[in-house]
Amino acid sequence: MSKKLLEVKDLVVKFGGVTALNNVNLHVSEGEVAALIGPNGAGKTTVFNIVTGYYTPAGGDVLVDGVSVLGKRPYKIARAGLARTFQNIRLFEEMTALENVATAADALNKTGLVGSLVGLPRSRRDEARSTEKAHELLSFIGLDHRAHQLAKNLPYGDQRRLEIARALALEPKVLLLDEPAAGFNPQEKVELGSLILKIRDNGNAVLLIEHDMSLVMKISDRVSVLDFGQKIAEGKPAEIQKDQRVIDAYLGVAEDAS
Amino acid sequence: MADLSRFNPREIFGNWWDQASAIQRGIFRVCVIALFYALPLLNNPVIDTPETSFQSVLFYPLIMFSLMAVGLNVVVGKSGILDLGYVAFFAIGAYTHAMFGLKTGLNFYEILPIAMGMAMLAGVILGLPALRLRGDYLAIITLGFGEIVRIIAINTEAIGGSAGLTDIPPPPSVLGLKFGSGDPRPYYWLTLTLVILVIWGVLRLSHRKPGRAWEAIRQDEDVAEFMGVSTLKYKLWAFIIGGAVGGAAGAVYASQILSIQPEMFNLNLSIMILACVVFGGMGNIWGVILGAVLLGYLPEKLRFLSDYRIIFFGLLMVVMMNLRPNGLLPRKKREVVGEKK
Repeated sequence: MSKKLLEVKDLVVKFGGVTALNNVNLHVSEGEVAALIGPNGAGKTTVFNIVTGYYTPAGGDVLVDGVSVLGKRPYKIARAGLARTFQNIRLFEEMTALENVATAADALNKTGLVGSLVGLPRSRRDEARSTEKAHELLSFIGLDHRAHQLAKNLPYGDQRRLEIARALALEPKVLLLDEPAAGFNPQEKVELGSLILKIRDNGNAVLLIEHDMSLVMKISDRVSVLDFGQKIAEGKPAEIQKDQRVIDAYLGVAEDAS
Repeated sequence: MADLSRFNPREIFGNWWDQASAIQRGIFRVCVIALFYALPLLNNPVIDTPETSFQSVLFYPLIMFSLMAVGLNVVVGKSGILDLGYVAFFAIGAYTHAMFGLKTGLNFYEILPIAMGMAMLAGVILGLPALRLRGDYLAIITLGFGEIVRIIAINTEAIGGSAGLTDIPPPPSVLGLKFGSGDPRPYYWLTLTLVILVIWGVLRLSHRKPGRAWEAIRQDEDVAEFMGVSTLKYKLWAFIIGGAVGGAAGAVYASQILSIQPEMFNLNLSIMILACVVFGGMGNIWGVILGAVLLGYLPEKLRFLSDYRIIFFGLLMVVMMNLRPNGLLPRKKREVVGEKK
């Protein structure tokens, strides 16, 4: 069995009196694209917010490569190997595309502020590394020709891809994508699908939240389904498509006619 | 009107700067710096100020405001922390110089790093708990900090209480410049040197990793944290760098006026420096200096309006902020479409 890079165990999350997630178990293994689907409000983004350290769960544990990250600050978790994108694009709008990616690449450099001020050789090396890495990733997503444009002036699709490049700069063990295809036309969705598979083949596991079922079914190795904070099904895409509970969750159950 | 609010000098000057060779840039820098060093030697009725001599005005408020505005800009402009109590660092610097100058044999140049260190220490003590907060809450805490420092000074007899401290030693003479003889020019040159050093340091940081981290924090603190930026660490750095510059300004100020009272370090000064930063253009180091120079200079130049000058000054602020809400020289970046170079 391949190594579990991200493991969520018995996760319980409560907002006031509402239980947002109830005993949810999930994992992402090395070299796979795992998908997390479910109707609106099922708790998918909450899972992302928990594993990246933004909220603290009421119960359960989150392991990255076998080490618990519970209670760690988000920046530490990001450096430990979880990088994410956002459902509503959240780029650093007033920075250039290159700077957006370089900011995340910086996180893996050890240079401190004093080193940058003095201009130590290590600081110069690190600066060069961040810039080079940013250019590399922008080329990877096909955006290097717009490296010096402000993020807010990029077309919508490029902004979505730029978020992915920025997350990849953290060299994540698991890349968390929150509805990356939202607002895309069919052609763009196909391109996104092959980009995600390329990311997987480069050695980053992917956890994907997505509403577009054709995309999910095509590229995922494994699909988990959330409904009202419960995991109701898990399996290969073909199995999930036939699962009666999943169909009920999406389409609703007919009221008994009696 | 619309054109006036959009006009950005950076678009004209920036293009020239990008195309200039290293030698041209070097010559330009030397000329500008030389001009600023020569300012107190100029005797021009157009720039002269009534009542107070131009040379005094040049030291206080112009160059002192500039130094503090450049320091506060790191906090407010670069990393987006609204600091309403910046005067506290100024006061700590002034008191540190006064106390060490009176009680020990150390001279100004030896005390200056101590004054900056004390201000930085205060920045850490306040910043570590306070910087976990954001926005309005943080602003209120800094506001309180400014008042607390002043009130502690009033109530601590060991540092002079409400009467303050007198007979503070001026800096010893260097390079033939005699300090403390009533001539403000040596102090101007000293402060100008500090301003240039701070600009140099801040520009270096701005173009490197810390600058990107601050910019990311200012734009979206949550996302910065998700992208591996230790937001608390970088906010703390911004806070204590700003504090160190404020502390240095305080030490110079104390060594010039030779006696200090707690009431000098009131909220008005914090607001004034913040106004320089906002008026000039938050985040743009040249903008905040322009803001500091104008806001320092105008009230002195407008003395002929006597008491009405403050009203005129306020009116000007209102008009300017309507015309250019992002300040005189806004931070707006120029972007390069297509390949660079």
